[in-house]
Amino acid sequence: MSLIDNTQVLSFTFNGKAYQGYEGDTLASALLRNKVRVVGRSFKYHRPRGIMGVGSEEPNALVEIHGAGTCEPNRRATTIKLFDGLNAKSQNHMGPLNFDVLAINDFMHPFLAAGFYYKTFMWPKAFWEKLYEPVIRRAAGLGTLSKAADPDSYDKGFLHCDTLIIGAGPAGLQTALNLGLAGHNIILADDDFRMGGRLLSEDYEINLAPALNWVNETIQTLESLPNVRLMSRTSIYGVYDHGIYGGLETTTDEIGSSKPRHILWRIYAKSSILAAGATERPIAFANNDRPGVMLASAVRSYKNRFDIDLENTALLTNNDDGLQTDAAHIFDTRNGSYVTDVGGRKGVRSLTLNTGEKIAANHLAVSGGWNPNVHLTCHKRARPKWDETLRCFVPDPKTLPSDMSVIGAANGQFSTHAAFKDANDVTEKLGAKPSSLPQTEDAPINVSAFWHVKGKKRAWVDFQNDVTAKDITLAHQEGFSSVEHVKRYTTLGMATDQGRTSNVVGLAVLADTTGQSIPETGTTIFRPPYSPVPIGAFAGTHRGQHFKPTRLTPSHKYAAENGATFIETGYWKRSQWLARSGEKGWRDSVDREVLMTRSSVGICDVTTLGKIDVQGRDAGKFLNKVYVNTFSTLKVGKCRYGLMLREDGIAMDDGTTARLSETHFVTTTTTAKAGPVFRHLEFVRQCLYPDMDVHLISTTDQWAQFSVAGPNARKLLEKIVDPEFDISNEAFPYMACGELTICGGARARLFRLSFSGELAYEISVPARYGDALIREMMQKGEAFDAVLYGTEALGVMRIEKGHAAGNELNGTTTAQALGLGGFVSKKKDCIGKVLSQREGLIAEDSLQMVGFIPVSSQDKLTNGAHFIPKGETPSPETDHGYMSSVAWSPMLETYIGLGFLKNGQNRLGEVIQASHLMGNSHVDVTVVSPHFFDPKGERLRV
Amino acid sequence: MSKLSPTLPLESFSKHWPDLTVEEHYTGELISLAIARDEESAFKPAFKKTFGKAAPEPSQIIAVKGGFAMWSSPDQYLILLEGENINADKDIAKKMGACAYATLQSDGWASINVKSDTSKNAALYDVLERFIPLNLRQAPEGFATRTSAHHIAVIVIKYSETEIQLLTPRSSARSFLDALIHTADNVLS
Amino acid sequence: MIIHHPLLGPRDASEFVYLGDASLMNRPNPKSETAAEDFHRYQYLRDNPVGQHRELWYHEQGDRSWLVVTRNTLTHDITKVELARDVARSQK
Repeated sequence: MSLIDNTQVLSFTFNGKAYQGYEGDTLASALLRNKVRVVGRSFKYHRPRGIMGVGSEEPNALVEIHGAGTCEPNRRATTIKLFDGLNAKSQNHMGPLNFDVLAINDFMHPFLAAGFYYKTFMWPKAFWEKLYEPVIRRAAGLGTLSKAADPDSYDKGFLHCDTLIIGAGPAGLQTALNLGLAGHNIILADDDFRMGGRLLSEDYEINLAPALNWVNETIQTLESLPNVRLMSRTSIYGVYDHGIYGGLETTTDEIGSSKPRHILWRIYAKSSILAAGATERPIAFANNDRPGVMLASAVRSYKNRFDIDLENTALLTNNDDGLQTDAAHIFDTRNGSYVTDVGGRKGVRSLTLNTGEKIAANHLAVSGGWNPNVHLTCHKRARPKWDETLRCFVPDPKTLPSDMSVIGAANGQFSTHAAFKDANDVTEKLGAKPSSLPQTEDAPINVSAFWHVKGKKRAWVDFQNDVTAKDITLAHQEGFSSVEHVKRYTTLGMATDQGRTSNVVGLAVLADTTGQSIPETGTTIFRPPYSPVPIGAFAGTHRGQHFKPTRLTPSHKYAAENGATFIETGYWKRSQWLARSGEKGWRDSVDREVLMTRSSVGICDVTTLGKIDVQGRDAGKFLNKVYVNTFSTLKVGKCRYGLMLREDGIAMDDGTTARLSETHFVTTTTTAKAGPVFRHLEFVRQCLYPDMDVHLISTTDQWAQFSVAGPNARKLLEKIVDPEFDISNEAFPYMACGELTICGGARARLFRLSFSGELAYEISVPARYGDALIREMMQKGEAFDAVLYGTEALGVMRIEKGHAAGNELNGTTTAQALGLGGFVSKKKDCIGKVLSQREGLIAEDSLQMVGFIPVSSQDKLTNGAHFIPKGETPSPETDHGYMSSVAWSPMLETYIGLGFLKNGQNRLGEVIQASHLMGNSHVDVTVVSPHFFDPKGERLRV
Repeated sequence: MSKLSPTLPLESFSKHWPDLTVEEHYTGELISLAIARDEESAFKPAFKKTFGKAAPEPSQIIAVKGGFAMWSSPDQYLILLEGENINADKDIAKKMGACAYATLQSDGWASINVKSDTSKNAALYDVLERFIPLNLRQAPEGFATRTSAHHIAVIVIKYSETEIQLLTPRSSARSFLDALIHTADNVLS
Repeated sequence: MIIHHPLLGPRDASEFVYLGDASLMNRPNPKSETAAEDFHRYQYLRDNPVGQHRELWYHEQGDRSWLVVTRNTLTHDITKVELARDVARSQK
């Protein structure tokens, strides 16, 4: 019945040595076939270890896969599908696997019992950082990181189904067949690369023929149904709220493959059926961790599925299921026979029995009973219950999620017949007609309560974390008696196998130690992920360039052609400055852009600022509610600056609003706040004032918008705006706005707004014309030496004018602090009005925005510096405020800054110290009005 | 005709894989139409008169006079009109009267068509299931809704079993398209 | 989580932005004599129940409607979803 294709030979290496295996092998089966007995060293004691299991429960055979210049550590050899060219290495040894220097730990074991690290490495204190920690760091952990970039790619996806069936053993396959034929949309997932569960490993018959025949026929039928999706090598690792499941699909174990290595699936299922089977558990006795001591079910798998006869095998079992294993010697604990010791450090050579007799053997198959795989039932806080007859934990129907059913061995129904019966029962429960019950074995397990053999020598419970029965006893002695404490104190069940083969045995040892029963002892439960998920799978395609979206402005192409350096503002890429040849650094470019704009004309892409279309009979009334000032009085054809507060009175955002008609406004926001402001406005509209006739829609991307600023701004625009529109100062004064056409009939809007303080406009066209417009304006602008300027120059100019921006609207400042206290209308309520009047926010000595100039013109100003009165030492008590914006002003030829100073408005002229403690700079500055350049605003209104 | 030539957000992009075509598709004009408060009774007949049919239900897109209309929020619809008309919003506002408000949206969105040739096991679903969280396989023809894919807003319209249109904001359209092509390569190459 | 939008059907919670307690819909009267105290309570004081919680979610990656969701904070079971605008109107 083997599933090995020995016509397809695969070459692989293990620790540099070449071996051969076959198609259908795992790395573990191939190593066993090649009689490789030692495959790793245990975590703490560095004892030689061999393969113990056959699936994801494997605790010992952790290997590294090498490929594409990197390595993937901590892979279980039992879940690696053998491929041609596989290079694997063992882990956790210093020196070669067969001569591990750290095996000295095994001889030091009396000092390395559970919790030893809480009692050691404490003295002398200085030794911790210099000696103990580096040594422990080198010795600790499993596997090594290559520190190379991950050459693999990953993907993610979304699936929807009526029922998700987890596990494709007999129970899962029969259920899938029933529901699939009934037309339900189902997904059948199994983490193995072949579907069939235990049927692939046991010598069973179904309907008087080999079980594999039934498996293959069933899969064939399922593959033909369009409403069935089969997902092998897919581990359902997590159960989340409302029928959402996480699945990890593995496409290959080969590193650096061109296709995504893993796909992380988010599965939306109306119901799920857990048919995840059960995991066999061992028995604890002295030296039960020797290479060659294996789970009995694994020995049968290697024989039946992988066609490997393990020589000279003995069997230790406490139940009937184990008796299926072919063995030369059988020790059944129910007959009073058991094993008390194992000889053979690098591979079993002899077994000592309780009678004193010693026999020769090379493998020992151990069966201590079976544990249903209840893990996924616990992800939503269900607690399994103890079944005294089956001597295992089974799902408790009272606490199961309402949309999950558990069937087959996962529900404690261990025989194949019981699995089929459960499948048909759950099919009926889901409203479909089951197919006939296949004829097959129905043997009971008859497991007895034999968990461990007490003795002087160490008996292993958790193989991966090297936790022995003695450790559990010690934990109890030291007062860590609750199951949760024992877990953390001993680390039982905390390794990458999460206690699959050790939890229940550990509980039994603890129960025995405390004198309580197992149900009284309780059990720890589980949370996602069921098995390890690479972090790359969570990232999916979001790496490097694809990490986050990029938003480009309409003039991006043109700017790139003209030497722009781009800066990221959220998702946007904005031109920061555009260097010309000969310019040595960014200051050269930025200073030039400012000087050219203020002397002639500059153009800047301001599309990124949020634009919100506000329409309705109550649009003005609505804006009155969200802004501190009044908009219902704004005339058609005019713009107005607006400040928006949060309900707690702190400034949220500012912008300008233009009125295009009685019922039509266009409001702007800062770039960063476009999303949050829109969300806030919709909250106000839908939740606070649902009776107003007002409608909002974002138009940020819809309109390309450019600022045209400088003494020649109007002259340049007159070459663009169609002749029938009068944009003279009289016809189109400061703060006017209107709809017009440009360049021979193209739809446009013009706003006379100025952030720079120059004669300025913002011209807006549907984004389809954005690229064409910037080219046209720059071409027409050649006559005026027009310059394209970026965010740095934009920033310098607004600081020169003393305009607050993001640095000042930083989430802690009020209208009053920004110098806009008088701007807040006294005649009406608005969001934030009431709480803005709290005494702490309006106190006399509260922070107020003012300007700063260094006393000495050579001095540089530093953003974030704190203001300390002259003569005082910088401290929280002497801290009078902080610098929020700093720039070199080409116009004033000095550094200038904006900042917040206690009672700043009343301290103009004072000399104060700006201290930047991290940079250790202390600069004398004079407190001045923030309106450095053209304070009367004369340039605006020409 | 003005001197300014329009540019498409994705420069007429087009790529083919076995049983899949992804291409930019010029949509004509997009207009957002909002119902004025308390004017539902005037809106319904005005809509029928302007577009020849009753307004669509939630998650629905229907063919109307001049193009298509889809539901976009409790008091808003998105109209997709064939042909170029930069003033389409004003024309519609005039036709609908005081019971509705119209806003031009055409330039805010890029439009991508995703098509398969075969209707059985169409490759487009194998690709889109990696990309869009909705159950597109089971969705009926005429299904239209807005969601997000790879952190970018997307309006999904299922015109037929073999053709799905994706509208995505213009400024991030390149990123969106790159992600879609990357996904198609992962599935189909 | 999945939120059953009253008009659109089941949608992944990742399409939404969570704001908080639905009491935020009841903005106090700014003209009241106790306005300062009322707004303080409105803005800052919250119950933190184990069990049923009425809360506001915004369908930002969907139809942009605000929803009032009744959710059990322990089990995450959602028992009711209403359009916030309808709730706000009925409360007037």
